[in-house]
Amino acid sequence: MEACNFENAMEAPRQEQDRAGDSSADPRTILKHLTFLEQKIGHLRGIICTAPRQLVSAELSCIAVQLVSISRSLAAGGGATAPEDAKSPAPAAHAHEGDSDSSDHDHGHRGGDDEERLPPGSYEVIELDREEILAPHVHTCKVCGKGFKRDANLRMHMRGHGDAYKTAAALARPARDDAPPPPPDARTTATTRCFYSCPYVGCKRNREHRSFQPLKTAVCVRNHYRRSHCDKSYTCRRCNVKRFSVLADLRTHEKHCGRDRWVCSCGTSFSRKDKLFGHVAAFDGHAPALPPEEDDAADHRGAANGIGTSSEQQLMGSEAVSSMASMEGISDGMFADFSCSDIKGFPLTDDGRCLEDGRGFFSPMGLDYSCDFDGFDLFGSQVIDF
Amino acid sequence: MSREGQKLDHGDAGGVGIGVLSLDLLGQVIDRLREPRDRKACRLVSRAFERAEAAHRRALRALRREPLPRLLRAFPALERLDLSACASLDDASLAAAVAGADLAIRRVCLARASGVGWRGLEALVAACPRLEAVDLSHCVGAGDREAAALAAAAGLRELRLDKCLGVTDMGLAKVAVGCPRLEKLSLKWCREISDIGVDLLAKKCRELRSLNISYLKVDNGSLKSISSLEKLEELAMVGCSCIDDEGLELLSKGSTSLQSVDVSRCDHVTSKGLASLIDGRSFLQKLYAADCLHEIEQCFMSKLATLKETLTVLKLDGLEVSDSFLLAIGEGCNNLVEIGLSKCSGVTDGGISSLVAQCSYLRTIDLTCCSLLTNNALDSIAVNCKMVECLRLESCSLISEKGLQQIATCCPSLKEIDLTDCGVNDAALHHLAKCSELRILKLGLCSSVSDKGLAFISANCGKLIELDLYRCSSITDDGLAALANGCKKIKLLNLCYCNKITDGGLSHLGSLEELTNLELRCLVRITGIGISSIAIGCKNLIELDLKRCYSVDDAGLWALARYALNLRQLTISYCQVTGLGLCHLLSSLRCLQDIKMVHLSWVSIEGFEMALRAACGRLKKLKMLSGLKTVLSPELLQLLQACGCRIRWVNKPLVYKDS
Repeated sequence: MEACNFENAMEAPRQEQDRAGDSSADPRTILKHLTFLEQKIGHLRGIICTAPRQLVSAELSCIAVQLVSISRSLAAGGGATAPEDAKSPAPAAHAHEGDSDSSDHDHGHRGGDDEERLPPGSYEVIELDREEILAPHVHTCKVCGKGFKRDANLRMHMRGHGDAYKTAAALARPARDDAPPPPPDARTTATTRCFYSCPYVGCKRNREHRSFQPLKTAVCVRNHYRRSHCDKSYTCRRCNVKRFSVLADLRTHEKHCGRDRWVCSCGTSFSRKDKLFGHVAAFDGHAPALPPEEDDAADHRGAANGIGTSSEQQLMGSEAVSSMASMEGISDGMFADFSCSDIKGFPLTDDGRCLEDGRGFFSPMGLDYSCDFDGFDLFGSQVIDF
Repeated sequence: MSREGQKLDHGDAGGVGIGVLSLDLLGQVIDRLREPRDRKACRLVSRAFERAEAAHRRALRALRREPLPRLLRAFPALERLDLSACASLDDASLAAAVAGADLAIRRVCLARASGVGWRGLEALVAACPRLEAVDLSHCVGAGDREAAALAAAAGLRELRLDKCLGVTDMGLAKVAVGCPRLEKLSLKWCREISDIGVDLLAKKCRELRSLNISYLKVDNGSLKSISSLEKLEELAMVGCSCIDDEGLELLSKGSTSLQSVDVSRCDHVTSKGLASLIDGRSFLQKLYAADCLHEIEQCFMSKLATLKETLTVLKLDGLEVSDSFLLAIGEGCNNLVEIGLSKCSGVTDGGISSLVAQCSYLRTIDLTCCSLLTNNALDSIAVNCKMVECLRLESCSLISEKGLQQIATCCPSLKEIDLTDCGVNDAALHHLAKCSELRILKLGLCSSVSDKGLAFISANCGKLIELDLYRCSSITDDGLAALANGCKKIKLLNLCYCNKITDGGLSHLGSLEELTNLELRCLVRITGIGISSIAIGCKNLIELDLKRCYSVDDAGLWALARYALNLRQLTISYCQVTGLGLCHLLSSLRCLQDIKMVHLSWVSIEGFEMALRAACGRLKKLKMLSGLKTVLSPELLQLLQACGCRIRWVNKPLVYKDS
C-alpha cells in the first residue's frame, strides 16, 4: 500500500538529512539523497489523486525542507562548518519567549536538560505546515479520510477497513517521535530524537530563527501555533474579556474566571496574592489596585448596625439600669425646658454625619460660647498652642 | 516673659520701634526664642514681630479645625504641621483647609486623627507637593485606601503607620510602589501585613534606613527579604513570635549597615541567634533583647565582647543573670551608654559593681524590680558613673537615703530618677535636692514622704517637669504650696490618693501655668471650688483625672467648661455631676477628645444623650457603663462611630472607696 510506504518514507528522509548534516561534504551522500527525493516525488505522483490533500502538502513541504537543507550543506562548502540549522538549536537555552505559551513550557520542562546536552545534529527537526497544524484532526484515515483526534481511535477505526489492520503489529502503538527520549547511551545508535519547528518565519520556534528553540511534540506545535500566530477566537462567556485560541485554555480559564481578586493597576488580574506581588515586583510603575469603594462603605455601615443591636442581656443584669431608672424621675424635671424633639428628629445626611458641625446644637440652653469662631483672632487666642 | 520680650516692649514704647529692623533679622531673633510662650509674648507686643513670625514660622500645632485654613495661609513658610490634637478634624475640614493652596509643608503629623480618611489625605498630598514625612499612627480606622492616598506623595521619606489596623499587604504595596525613596517606615501593629508585603517593600524601597515590623505576623522569610536592604540601619521586630534564630542568621548574611536591632519579646529568639547576628555585624550599636532571652549561652557572651568598641545600648529586661555575666558585659562593652536590666532576677550588688566598674560612660541605668540591690550598688554606680542621667530603681526596696546621698553627691547631672515603691523618706529627698538638674521625679507609694521632703525638692529643683506623688498620703496643702512656689515648670503631676489635699492645695496649684497633666484620683475632699481654681490658673491643662472625687459637682464642670479650653482628656467617673453640667461641659470644650464617665449616678439617660449629641464630632474615645448601650438612641451611637469615636463599655459594680 502506498499509504504505508508513505509513513516509512516520512521516517527515511529524517535519517537521511541527519546523515547529510554529519557529512555534508561527501558528494556521494548528496547524490544518494537526491535520488531518494526523486523516488519520493515519484511516490507522491502515484498517491496525489487518492490521498487527502494535507498529506500531500505535508509530504511536499517535507521534500522542500530536504532540498533546502541539502543546498545549505552544499553552500557551507568546505565541510569544516556544520549546517546552520543543525547547529543553532544546541546553545538555545530556555530563555522564555515573550508570547509565553505556558503549555510549551509544561511539555518542554522534562526534556529541557536533555535538549541542551544534545550535540548538534544528533536530532532532526520537523516542520509541519500551517494547514496541517490547523487541521481539525491530527490523525486521518488514509482509506476513507475520516479524521480522529487520537491515534488510538484511528487504529480502532482502521480495523474496519480489513483484516490487514487487525494484526497485533498494526494495532500496536507505533514508535512515535514524542515517545520518551532514549537513554543517553542509545543516542549514538540509529534512533534519533525529533523536534518540531514552527512554520511561522520569524518566530523563535522557527528553525530559521537565530536562537531557535525547538518544540517537543506535534501537540506542542499545534498549541504554540494557535496561541502565538492565530486569532483568539474563543471568548470567555463569563467575563467577555479574556480570549483564547486553544479551547483547552478557555476551559482552564473558565474554571477560575471571576475568582481573581488580586488586580494590578495595569488591569491584569491574579487568583493569588503572591502572583500579583510577583508581577508588581517585576514591572516598574505597576501597583496593586484596590477594590472599588462601594464595598467598603457597605461593610462599614453593616458593622455599625451590628454593634448597636448586640448584647441586650448584659444590660438587664447590670445595676446601671436600675440606678438610671431611679434617677429618671428627678432629672426629667431638670430637662423640662429642653426641647428634646429637636434631638429625636436629628437630621442625618446620607453618609451618617450630622449636617452641622457640632456647634449650635444647644442654643436652647442659652450657653454662651467662650470662643467666637468667626471673629477668631489669629494671634490672640489662647486656644491655639503655638 | 523672657528678657527679649521685655526689651521689645520698651522699644515699642520708645517710638523708634522694632520695625526698623528687617524682617529677616526679626525672624532670626524669633528663631532663637525657645519657649513658645516667649514667642507669643513677642508677637502680641509688636506688629513687626507678628509679621516676622508669620513669614518665618516653620511649625504649627493646631488644636481646632476652624482656624486651620486661615493659619495655613498666614504662614506660607510652614514646614511642620501637627494635627494630632486638632479637635474634630475630618476629611471635609482638612480638604477645605488645604484646598487650592500650594503649601511648603514637609512633615505632617496626623497621629490619632481618627476622623481623617483617604479623601482628606488625598487632598493633603495634592496640596503639599514637598511632603516628606507623614505620621498616621494610631488611626485605627485607616486601611489600604488611606495608604494608597499617601502613596501619591512620591517624595515621601518617612511614614508611620503604627496601629493602622486596616492596612494590609495591598496598602503596603501601594506605598512601596508609590514612595520609592522611603527611608523610615514603621508598620507596628499592622497585623494584616504578611511576608509577601514585606518582600515587595524590600524590593521596591531600596533606600530604607529604619524599619519597624513589631508585632507583625511575619516569619523568617521577611528577614531574608529585609537582609537585602543595603542601607538599613535600624530594625525593630518587637513581639514577632514567628521569627527565630534561623531568621537572625539570614539577617546576618545581609548587608553590614545594620546598627540597631530590637528583638524584644520575640519568644523564639535565643542567645544563639543573637550570637550569629552579632557575628556578622561588628558595628552593632544598639541591641534590645528585652523579655525574649531565657538563658545566656557562652557563645553569646564571647560574641558580645567583639562589640567592645561600638555597643552603646544593651537592654536585657526579664533575663536571669549572674554576677559573672554582668562582669563579662562590664569588661566586654566599655562604651555602654544605656543598660536595661529591668525585672532581671539575680542582679546583686556584686554584679552591678563589677558591671559599672569599667562602664564609666553609662547615662541610663534601668534596675526596675531588681529587689536584691542595696545601697552598695548605688555607691558603686555613684563612684563609677559620674555622667548618669537616668536611674530607674522602682521596687528596689532595700535602698535608703544613704545610697541616694552618694548618688546625689557624685552625679550632678541626674535628670530622672524613679523611686516608686522604694520606701524613701524626707531625708532621702533632702539629699536628692542637690541634683538641681532633676526633671523627672517619681515617688509613688512612698508614703513616708511628707511636706517637709517636698519642700526640699521645691526649694532646689526648679527645673522639675514631672512629679509623681501617687499614694504619698502624708502630703498636705502646705506641701503643694511649697511645690507651686518652687517648681514653676511642672507639666505632669500625679496626686492620686493623697487624700489630705483640699481645695486650698488646689488653689496653690493654680499658679502652675505650665501644667498639662494632672491626676487627682480619689481626692475626696476637693470640691468644685478647687477645680475652678485649677481651671482658671492652669491654662494649658490637657489631661485631668477626677475619678472618685466624690465631692466634685457641677460647679467644677462649669469652671472647666468656661476656662479649661485646651482640655483633651477628662475622667469624671463617680463624680457628683448632673446632666446639666455634663451637657454644658461637652458642648463647651472644643478640644475634648476622650472622656471617661462611668457611674455618673446623677445624670439621666437624656442627659447622656444630649451631652453626647453636643460633643459628637469631637469625641474619639468614650468610656461608659454598658447599661447605657441599649438605652441611648442607636442613631447617636452610629453617629459617634461614624465620626471615628471608639466607645468602651464597662460593666462594673458601683463601689465606694475613699482611700
